[in-house]
Amino acid sequence: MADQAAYNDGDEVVAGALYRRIYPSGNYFKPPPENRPTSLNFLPDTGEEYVSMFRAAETTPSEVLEGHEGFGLLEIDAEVLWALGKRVIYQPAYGKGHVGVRGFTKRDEQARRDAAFASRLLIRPTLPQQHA
Amino acid sequence: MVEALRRTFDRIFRSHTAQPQGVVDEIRAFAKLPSGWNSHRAPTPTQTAIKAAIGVVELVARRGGPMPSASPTPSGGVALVWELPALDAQLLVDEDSFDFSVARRGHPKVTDQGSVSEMYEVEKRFIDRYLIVQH
Repeated sequence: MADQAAYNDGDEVVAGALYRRIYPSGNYFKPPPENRPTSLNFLPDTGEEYVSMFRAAETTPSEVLEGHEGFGLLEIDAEVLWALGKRVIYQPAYGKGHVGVRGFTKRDEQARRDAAFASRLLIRPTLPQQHA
Repeated sequence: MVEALRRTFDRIFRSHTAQPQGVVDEIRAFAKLPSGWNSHRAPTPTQTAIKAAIGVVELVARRGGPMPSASPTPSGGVALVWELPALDAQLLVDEDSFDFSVARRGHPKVTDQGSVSEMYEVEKRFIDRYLIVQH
């Protein structure tokens, strides 16, 4: 699903694979047998209107994870996000290949869960031991 | 396959037997997270959200319900997650609201969700309905 299109700041990214880091916590990643990221990965930060991701066509998994020890990596297609009613906007000022995915909120669990189920796990996060 | 089943059982069993103090300590520790803990711009969970999340955990424990696992959220809150035998139940605790959602385990479809602002509403619409009955 490589997307070699050239984009300018503010353009809509309508196709192609996107990466997002997975926070190393059991509630952000369900281990096998489910082996998938969870909907929490699609919550925007306070004060932000978008969820940060990176175009796979412009970066690599190791570049996205550099300096973020223990984090995992998920991949999701921009087409899926648009189908869920979200907008994917190119924002290279925030990092190489950075896009802002707009429209996710804490009150749309269905869309966030759909995105989680549509994601592909590329690299598992390193989960801390849970309390007994 | 056997290993996968064992891990599933362990996770469910742990969810049902953990003591509240472990979860409470874990939630309290979120106050020490630095801003940007998620590698982006997530703030440290607020004291209000931490206190509210602990209140939920203690209430569920008093009612004899299962213990959740806890995580910080990028919105400065706390996520409480229960992996029940048939359901995934989640409560996002923020400064100003409790947002719950419930789905069948392993399925994308959300079967119930809502947003409330008071603890008694959390108890009535979420804890009573899903945690006490399910347990």
